[in-house]
Amino acid sequence: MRVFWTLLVKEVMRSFAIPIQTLLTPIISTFLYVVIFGVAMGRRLSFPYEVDYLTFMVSGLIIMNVFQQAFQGITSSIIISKYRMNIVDLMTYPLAQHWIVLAHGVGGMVRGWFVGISLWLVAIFFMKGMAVSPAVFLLSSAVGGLLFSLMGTWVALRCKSFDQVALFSNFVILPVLFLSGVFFPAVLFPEPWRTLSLYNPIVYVVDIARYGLIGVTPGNPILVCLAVLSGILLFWGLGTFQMRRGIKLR
Amino acid sequence: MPAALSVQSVKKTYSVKQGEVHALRGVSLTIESGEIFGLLGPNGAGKTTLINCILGIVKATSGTVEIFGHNNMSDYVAARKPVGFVYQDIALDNFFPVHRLLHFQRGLYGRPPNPAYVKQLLQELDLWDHRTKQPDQLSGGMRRRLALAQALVHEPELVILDEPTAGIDIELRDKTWDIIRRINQKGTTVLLTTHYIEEAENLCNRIGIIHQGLFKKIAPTQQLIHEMGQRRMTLHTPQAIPDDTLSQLSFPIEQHPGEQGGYRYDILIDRGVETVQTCMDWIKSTGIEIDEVELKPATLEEVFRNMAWGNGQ
Ligand SMILES: Nc1ncnc2c1ncn2[C@@H]1O[C@H](COP(=O)(O)OP(=O)(O)O)[C@@H](O)[C@H]1O
Ligand SMILES: [Mg+2]
Repeated sequence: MRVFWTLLVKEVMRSFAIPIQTLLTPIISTFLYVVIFGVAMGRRLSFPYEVDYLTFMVSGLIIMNVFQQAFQGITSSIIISKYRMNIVDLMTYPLAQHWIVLAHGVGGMVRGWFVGISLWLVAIFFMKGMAVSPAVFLLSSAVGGLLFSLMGTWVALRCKSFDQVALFSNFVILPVLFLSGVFFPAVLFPEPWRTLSLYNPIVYVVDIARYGLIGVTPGNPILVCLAVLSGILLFWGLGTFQMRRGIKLR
Repeated sequence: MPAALSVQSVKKTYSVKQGEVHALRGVSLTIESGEIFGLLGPNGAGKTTLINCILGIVKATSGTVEIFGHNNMSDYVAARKPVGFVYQDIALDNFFPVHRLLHFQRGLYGRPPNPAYVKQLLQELDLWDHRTKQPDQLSGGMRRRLALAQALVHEPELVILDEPTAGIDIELRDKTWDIIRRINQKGTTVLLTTHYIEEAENLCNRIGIIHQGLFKKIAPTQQLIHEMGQRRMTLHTPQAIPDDTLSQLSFPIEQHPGEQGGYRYDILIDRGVETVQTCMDWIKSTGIEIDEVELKPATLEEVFRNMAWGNGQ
């Protein structure tokens, strides 16, 4: 227990070792998105919800940042350890491999959460109707963040360099996020994207987290939980499997 | 009580592009609680590979390792807990200052915080004044001491050090030796690797000589020193010694071109005054002209090359 806890605290503190960068980059990029897309496109869209497009988009950006930062935080932490060669420490901790993987997953999640909450607070300050049900937002973004962070753990244990991680990030993470209704409701996607998005579990996580922020109706919450929990178990298992097989070094 | 460390028939074969490297070809070793055991061997002998197999960083191709009775693969949590170690190539996390790194390390091995002990350790290793620095801000020697502190901070029962004194100055070496002796007096078992005979002699109560992935000898230090007390005599001559004269000598002899012209002969002499005398008599009897004679302790490499028990495997 103490071992797990120490590892977790260490991982969380690692991800905050460069706090300015951690926090400022997402805030600036969100601001840019808002200016470019929200303000420019917002007026021309007819929108099926009772909220305006800008509100919708900002809520999506907050959620996207939680997930992206969770993924990115843990992958860079692990890849840096690989470059410095102290990654072998992971193979010597007196802690079961699945707990080592989970500690990393939770560590990354906390970082994503922290970034998301900071963005959220900024949004609350500037906009109305951004905190309909905070508990739902906090919980669902934590669970979704854990999923992305465990995915990141697995990917980083497998990859040898930042380039390989970037490949995964650009060709898997980003498309999945963009196709999960972050900028635009998935139900309004043109075919075939609409049907495709029905099979993207992230769509539901985004929906439910967004419900917590701006109160727009989510899909079936039970389905969401099932999809996300199985995702978490899948990547937790894959990460543990990768540790058992041996971490790929440079 | 189970042995501190038990290694049974461990083999390790690396696959490389050119084929296979048999780094360990079946080694067995038992270290009892309270020993300081020295793994002595030239570069490439397989010392680091063995250490890494024990730590579980490298998976042995076959064989088993038990630490205080716990298998290091099937029961790795229990096997890792009592171990502290320093790698040959030190790799330190640079995210935290020195003191925090050590506090974490205790927690990572399940020990409750103990600032007083951390302070004592840092002072002893002359790192106390540098405790708020990041590892990258430290000099090479300080990083080595930090790695040692990291290995000891959770008060392990078995400490494994891979070449703890390679390439460091005498002062730090002596300090490292002192610390190793001190923790051993408190009951800590130590396994270290070295390619310095002197280090093994000074520190270890038992020595295992490893060469080309096999133990050539495992014996108490005193016994080994006796067997290894060979010397090298070097002769510088203006003229070559004829082959039939060379073959009269029963010791191994090698001919090299001399640095300032002429020839150099290296003769490996078994220990004892008698045998040096035999050699001198031989030189006199040949009547060859000699510029210079040197007598030195043999280097470890020579000892290995000529060890009676080193051949034929
Ligand atoms: N990762 C590796 N891949 C291939 N060969 C290796 C690897 N590590 C070590 N070796 C080889 O195994 C042998 C033993 O090396 P090592 O254990 O480092 O020796 P020592 O520590 O005694 O100097 C050497 O021939 C070395 O080249
Ligand atoms: Mg070595």
